[in-house]
This record gives sequence, structure tokens and C-alpha cells, in this order.
Amino acid sequence: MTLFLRLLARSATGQEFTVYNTLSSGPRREGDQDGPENFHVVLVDNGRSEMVGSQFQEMLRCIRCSACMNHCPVYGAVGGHSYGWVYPGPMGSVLTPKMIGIEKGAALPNASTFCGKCESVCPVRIPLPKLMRHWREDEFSKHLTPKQPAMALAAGHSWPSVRHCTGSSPSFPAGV
Amino acid sequence: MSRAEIFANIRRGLGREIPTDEQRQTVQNRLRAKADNIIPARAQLPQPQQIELFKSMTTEAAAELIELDSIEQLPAACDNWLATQNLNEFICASDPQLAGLDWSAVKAAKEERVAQVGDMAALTTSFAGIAETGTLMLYSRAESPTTLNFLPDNHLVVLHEKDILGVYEEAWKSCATIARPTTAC
Repeated sequence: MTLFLRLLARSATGQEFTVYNTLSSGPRREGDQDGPENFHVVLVDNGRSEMVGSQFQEMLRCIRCSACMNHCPVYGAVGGHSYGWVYPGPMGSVLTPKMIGIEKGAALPNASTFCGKCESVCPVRIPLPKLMRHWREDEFSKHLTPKQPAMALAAGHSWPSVRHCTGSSPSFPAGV
Repeated sequence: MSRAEIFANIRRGLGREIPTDEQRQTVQNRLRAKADNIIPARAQLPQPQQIELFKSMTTEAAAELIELDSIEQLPAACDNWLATQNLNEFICASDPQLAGLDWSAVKAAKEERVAQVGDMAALTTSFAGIAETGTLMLYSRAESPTTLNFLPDNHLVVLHEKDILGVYEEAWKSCATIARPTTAC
């Protein structure tokens, strides 16, 4: 745990350590003046356990430090809200399609220059470009790639420029 | 999704069955061993240098240090500091270390209780100081409720030089020797 606490703040904001960490071990004991009466641990799976053993397993190492966002030229240009869901930046481009489906989140792994900065700064060495490439392959294999980019790919044109021209945007469920 | 389903998914993903007694024992042994991971060289120093490193890192983290020759000087030091901040009251842990001091000459009002909204200053002791990053480690207990640590705007913390350790790993090991706290921070 201490290793990851060290990595977290240094990779996130460049601080030596997070300003405040609390480790909770249970409800208040007899005689305690404060603390919770009950202590519950809620496991939010949301598809994560299905990533174990899949080609996306390495994504589960993410400690949410945001180093990938800090160095991403796409994130720097468009900002967090453009990602349309909980997780922005390169790590969001890998996680979000898992949560909402590649049918709705395909624009995210496609909106990458694959410059590789995210992978090079990741403290837990997640190969983010490789994982985004898996999503692109998944989209293509399911015949979800829009016609124009698919034709452009077949004709050998650059993908990002054509994608931009088509004006494609992520398609998210209402309310997210 | 239930916990059992989540665990089943993880086992399936890892290609594992229900663990055997031997496998369980292997995991339990590993957890009990509490083996250290990579420890930064920065704080692996003789204690006098660890103290200097602690001071330097704490100051860098915007803490204010007041060095005392003895714990008996604490009430006057607290009173002076509170006066410079225009504060005339503070809440205090009912820690025997603090309760045993002579607070009679202190002008600021002192109360021993949990923190509430609006409290401006709290005084507690600290279990350990960690030189590596200038961090204070505290744990909750009946005489030092955890709200004192984070509710009031100002937190005055007593730390003995002897309790300054090099790295977190040393502090966790010391922490493991005391009764289970509800929170450690």
C-alpha cells in the first residue's frame, strides 16, 4: 500500500505525499467519542471483474493518479467534460467503452494520436495505446466503424483527419 | 452483483478454482510476513539526520514548527501561538500526556471533546513523524477522537523527537503493535 501511496501523489500533482490519507478499520469501539456506528464496504464492480483475464486486465492496475491526463495532448486540448463520462483522459478512453459499450464509446479510443506519452508516464505501466488499439479492433470487427472512416482506411487516408471531417462525437446514454 | 459473483468472475478470469488449504496458507503467510517493497533511500539515515529531514519536509508542506525543550513548555507555547492567530479557545485530546500538564496559566479556553463545526483549533499528540515526506501519523482512540484531526481549521500536534522515523514502513510496523485503531491517518 505504501508504495502506491508514494506513487499516487507524485504522479498526480508532483507533491511528496497526499495531503491527507485516512485508513478506516471498522466502526467505533466502546468508549470512542466519535466514529461511525456501522461500517460497510461496498464493492462497485461495474464490469471490472470481467476484465480479469481479458485483454484489458492491465487497466485494472490504474490508481487514478491522472498522470496520463496531465501529459495527454488530446486531453489538454479538449478538457475532461468532452469525454462525456466519469473517467476522462487516456484511462477513460479505455475504461469508458467497457462501462457503456464500444457501440456508444467508440469515439474515445479513436480520439488518440497514439503519441505514447500516457504510457511513458504511467506509474503502474499500463500500456494505454495498446488497450485503445484493442477497442479500435473491437469496433472494426463488429462492423461499427462509420462508413466514411472505413472507406478512408481502405483507401489509405489518415484516420484522425477523416474522423474530424465527419464530425463524429461520442454517443452517450441520456443523462451522462 | 454479489460479492460471490465478483469473486467467481475474478477466479474465472485468473483460471483458478476454489483455493486449497495450501494455497490459502501461502496467501496468509505472505500477508503475515508484511514484507517491505521498495523503500526510498532518502530517509534511510541516522536518526539525527532523519530529524533534520523531517523538519525540512514538514516546512516544505507549509507546516509551522515550534521546538520545545520539554513537554512542560507546551501550554505556554500553545497559548502564545493561539494569541498570534487571535484565537481564544481550542479543543484538546484527553490524552494523558496532555492532561498531565499545568494548563492553569493558559488564557485561551480549553475543552476536551470531539470536534464540531466552527472549532478553530485542536491539540492532539502524534503517534509518529515520518521523515521521508514530513508526514504525521495519528490514530484514533477514546482519548483522541479522529474528528480532532481534520475538522478544526488549525491542528496543533505534539510530536516527540524520539517518535520521528525514517519511512512509512517503520511507522506501520510500530502501528501494528498497538491495539487496532478505528482510523489511522
